[in-house]
Amino acid sequence: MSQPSSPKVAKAPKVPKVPEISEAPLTDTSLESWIYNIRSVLHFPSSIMLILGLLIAGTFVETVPRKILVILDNPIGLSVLFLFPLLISLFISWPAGLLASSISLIILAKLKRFDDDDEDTEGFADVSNDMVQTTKLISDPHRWFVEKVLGEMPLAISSDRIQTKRTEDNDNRTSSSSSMSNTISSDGTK
Amino acid sequence: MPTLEPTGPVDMALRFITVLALLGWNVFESLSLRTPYPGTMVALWEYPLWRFILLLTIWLGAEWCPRVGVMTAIAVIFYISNMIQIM
Repeated sequence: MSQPSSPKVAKAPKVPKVPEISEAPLTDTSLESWIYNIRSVLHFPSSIMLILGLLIAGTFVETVPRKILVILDNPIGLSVLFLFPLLISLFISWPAGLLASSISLIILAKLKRFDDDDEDTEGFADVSNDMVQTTKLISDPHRWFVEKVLGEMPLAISSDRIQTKRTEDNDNRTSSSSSMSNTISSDGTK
Repeated sequence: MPTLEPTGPVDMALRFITVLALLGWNVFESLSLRTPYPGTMVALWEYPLWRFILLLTIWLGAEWCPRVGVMTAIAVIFYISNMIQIM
């Protein structure tokens, strides 16, 4: 049974819908949205620049002079070493934070090495300059007799020069006693 | 975070093998004071490019998988710390 066809009605041509003025998106010109927009736009380059900087800093922290690293050897500097990775992991990304924490630990190890060097200088003059790395790799395949006997195969030598210094007597009791012997007591006797 | 979970069986197997290898390295090489580092690694310590690659490995491992990144960081930090102490 065929249904009666509906009378054909001429379709009206489609007219593109023009958004009304009230529906148009408004541009947020507030400072907060501007900062958010800048942060989202610059997030990628800032991450790349930061990671490159961290990699370069970690690479050459071994050759940094002692005078620069000692600046961090105080409670404020150590706090910075702990807070810096935390802030990076919060605001950038956690892999960058992990990299920053690794570099902080390397700096801490370097500072500890400086402290150990200060404790080991008794009786010996530290002839090593901070700008010069005194450790030398051993390229000579011939070993010393002691090394052959003990089965040692050293790869590097920390210092091939030892310079001793005389012990300085800082005790001033002798001079003070002699000075006391020269003083005149209150009753006029020496 | 998309890198927290493996993307497939191959990725999962690679992560598992890498974590196991780094765990073994850390236990038997980094944490053991009696085990010396290979001579090649000691000799390479002088070169800045080697140190750059080591640090880059930490970041790449962390971008790939958090567990790999942490294990890599432990291995690299122990190695660098030991090199700083002996050099």
